[in-house]
Amino acid sequence: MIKSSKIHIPPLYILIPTIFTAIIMILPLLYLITRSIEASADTWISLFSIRSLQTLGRSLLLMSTVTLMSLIIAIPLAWCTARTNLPMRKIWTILVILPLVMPSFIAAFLFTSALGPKGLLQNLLEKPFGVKELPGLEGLIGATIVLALLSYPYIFLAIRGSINNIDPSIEESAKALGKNSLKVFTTITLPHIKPALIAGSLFVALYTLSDFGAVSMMRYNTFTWTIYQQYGSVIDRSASAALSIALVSTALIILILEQNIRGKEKYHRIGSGSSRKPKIINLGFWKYPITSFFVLIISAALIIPVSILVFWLFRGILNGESITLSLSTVLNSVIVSLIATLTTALLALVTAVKLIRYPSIMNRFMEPISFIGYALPGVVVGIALVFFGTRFAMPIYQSIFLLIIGYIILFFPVSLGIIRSSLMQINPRIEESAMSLKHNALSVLTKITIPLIKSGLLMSLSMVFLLTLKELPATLILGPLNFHTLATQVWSYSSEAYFAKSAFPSLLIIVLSIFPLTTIIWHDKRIYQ
Amino acid sequence: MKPYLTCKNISKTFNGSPAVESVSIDLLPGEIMSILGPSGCGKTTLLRLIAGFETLDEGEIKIENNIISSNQTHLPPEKRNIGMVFQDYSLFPHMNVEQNITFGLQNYNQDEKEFRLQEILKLIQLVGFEKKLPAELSGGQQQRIALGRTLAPKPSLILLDEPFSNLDAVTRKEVMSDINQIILESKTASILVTHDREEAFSIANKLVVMINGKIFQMDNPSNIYNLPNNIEVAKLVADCNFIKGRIQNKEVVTDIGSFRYESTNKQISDKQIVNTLIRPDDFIITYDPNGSFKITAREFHGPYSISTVLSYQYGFSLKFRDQQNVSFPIGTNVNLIKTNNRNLVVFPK
Repeated sequence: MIKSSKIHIPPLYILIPTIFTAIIMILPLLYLITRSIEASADTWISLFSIRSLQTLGRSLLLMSTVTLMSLIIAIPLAWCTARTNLPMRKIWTILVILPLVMPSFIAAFLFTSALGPKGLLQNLLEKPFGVKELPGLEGLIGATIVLALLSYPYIFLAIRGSINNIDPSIEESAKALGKNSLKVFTTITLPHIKPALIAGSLFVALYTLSDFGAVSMMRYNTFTWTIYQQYGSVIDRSASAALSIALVSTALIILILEQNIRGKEKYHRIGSGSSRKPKIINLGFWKYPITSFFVLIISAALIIPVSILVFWLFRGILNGESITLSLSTVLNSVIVSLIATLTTALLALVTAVKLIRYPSIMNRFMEPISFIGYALPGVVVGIALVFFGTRFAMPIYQSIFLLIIGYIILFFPVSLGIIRSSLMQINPRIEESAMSLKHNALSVLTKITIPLIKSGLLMSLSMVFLLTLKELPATLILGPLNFHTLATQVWSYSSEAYFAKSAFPSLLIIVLSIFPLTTIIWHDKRIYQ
Repeated sequence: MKPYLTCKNISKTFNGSPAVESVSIDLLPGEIMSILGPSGCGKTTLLRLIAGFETLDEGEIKIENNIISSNQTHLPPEKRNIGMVFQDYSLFPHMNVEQNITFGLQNYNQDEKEFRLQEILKLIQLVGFEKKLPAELSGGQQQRIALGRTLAPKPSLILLDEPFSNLDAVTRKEVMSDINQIILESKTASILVTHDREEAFSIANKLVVMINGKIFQMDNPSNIYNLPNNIEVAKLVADCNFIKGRIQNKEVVTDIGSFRYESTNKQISDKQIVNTLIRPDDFIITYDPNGSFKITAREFHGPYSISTVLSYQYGFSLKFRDQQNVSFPIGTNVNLIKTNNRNLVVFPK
């Protein structure tokens, strides 16, 4: 008799990692729920206090200003690199993505210390112009500028592909109907890229909401910074839990709102489209101001910050400061990031295969779980894991395992998004062909599926490596005692204003980020279209 | 002879709507079967059930008396020794022709692999293409490689899902006859699924007409063509006209005359009103200034033309094939003469 098996039941090597992922993804939520159940009346009162509402207000304000400014930067950059005869378009396309390597706390530190009172800029201006004092860039304005300069590339990447995919005949027929270029842009181009714009803006909004580095450097009391301070004070941990609930709820509301706005456009695919090249618009005289805009953005986001870091480093060396960085710090960063990156990609790959190839009721739970991750800031994930570590998992508490789990929770959604979309582009008939040629599911996965989504896998690995290397709040909270990474070193040196000492690990983070970024640029079709 | 493949009362439902309903078919060793049906009739689902890509809800599928699918058993596709050729070829884009063809030969040693590869390349007439990637080949070549890849591990049954529908009209004819030849030479039992009657007729020993998830008729192609079970089958296998008729004295009486008839339906009785099937080549159009028909339109098809004639008296239109390309101008008065001895097929109304 032939052994029976059901085709739609996934093998254990798919099922077990998927369940594991679901469990760890749900931990932060469980923490928040437990905390709300245990919370005393005082906690709830503090949640609705004026101070909390002010924190909420500041967070939402910053989120709006950063998203708006990112859009203002990203839309012209994407449109000009895709559709105009701007000189060196290809090079600009790559250059404008580079700010992705810059961690927000480093950028913020540079802005406050170089442009602030008694900073580098003032030194430069003091002798020739007699400038005694600069206004300083702390607070909302500083945080907005820094975060927008670092996060506009996410919107740029999201809309770049969709601008290229507009069927040129639609724009041409609008032109034929007598609309001018600006009209065509607002009535045809913008609506077409709307889904991509919304997706990119959402990412930036949530990124801002969860940002810890820039707001703490800028002393702008948003949720994350306040939660971290209260967590550090130890006296009242329930207050930080209450604020965490408020923060995650805000993020979830934004996520749900976005889903409703996108509605039917949710599955709008970016990637396929007409093969005809869109018409290139001649900028004429406008190429000078536009090129200046590009130069301004790249300088502010990348060239000036890196130059200042290099300057500090050399000034420090010349002044005989001892600039030492233990090798173990570098190795910690690289190794922990690598482990987290590989594990995340593996779990995301398996989950994506489960979601796409093995439809079942379980997927209905997996979908929102993997999605909620976008709304979980590093601070909350860190605190939640400490809570579980101390209560249920003492052996891994204060070990890098808990830290790695934290990274997985934080970056799994990004990884899943990338891998999933490349898996969706594989025709399932190809895998079925392999099955009918007597290859079992594992063999099909390794010989057909994985080679075909290689690009997506590399993209996901690079993206997660980049994000892990820059991650600060969860690393501060979950890192074992005396465990330092490049990010935590920059953090501790910069809080004590050791410019030269913080410059070295900062530069190392940027240098190490170049490898994954090159991979992203190489494999992202949106850039080479 | 004992059937190689047996499907007994198999059913499959997707989200409440039945795709395959109580289908039973038998396939003898070496037999070539075509399943003809409109898009969405469930023919691809039937094929996927046999291949093992879908589990069935009811019934059973047996290969040489071993159950491979039932509602309790499901042998995974890789263990069925059934090859499948897909509509879009589904070649592995990251592998060259050689790697594609030898992909199913994992139990062969290096020499056997090389030998089988050359055998297959000869069969599909692509010797020397070993190192080409699928993207470098034409649609017809890709389809031949897809078939070669399927034949390489010597499956005992090949399933072909609309294998020619992605090809342009010219290539399609060539590839169709190539592939028919290759399948005949390989002597492998095959099932071809298509919505195109020409494809279905071209190779099959046995034709299955499937509509709305059910089998409407199963026989050899000429029997189905000559004596379809019902109007749907008739429309699928040939161009046809229908006119009302009445059974009287073993003849069917219609507005264009009385003729001998036949039907698969045993219940047809005297005085019954029926639908009469008139094929475009059952009558010829003759010039007659006092004729009761008028030519109203013409479709040029290259080797032949089809004229539409309108009955002055009854107001219905019929389409006939012009004889030896003698076409009368539109507006000409004509008459109709039955040319062959074929009985007209009737269906109960």
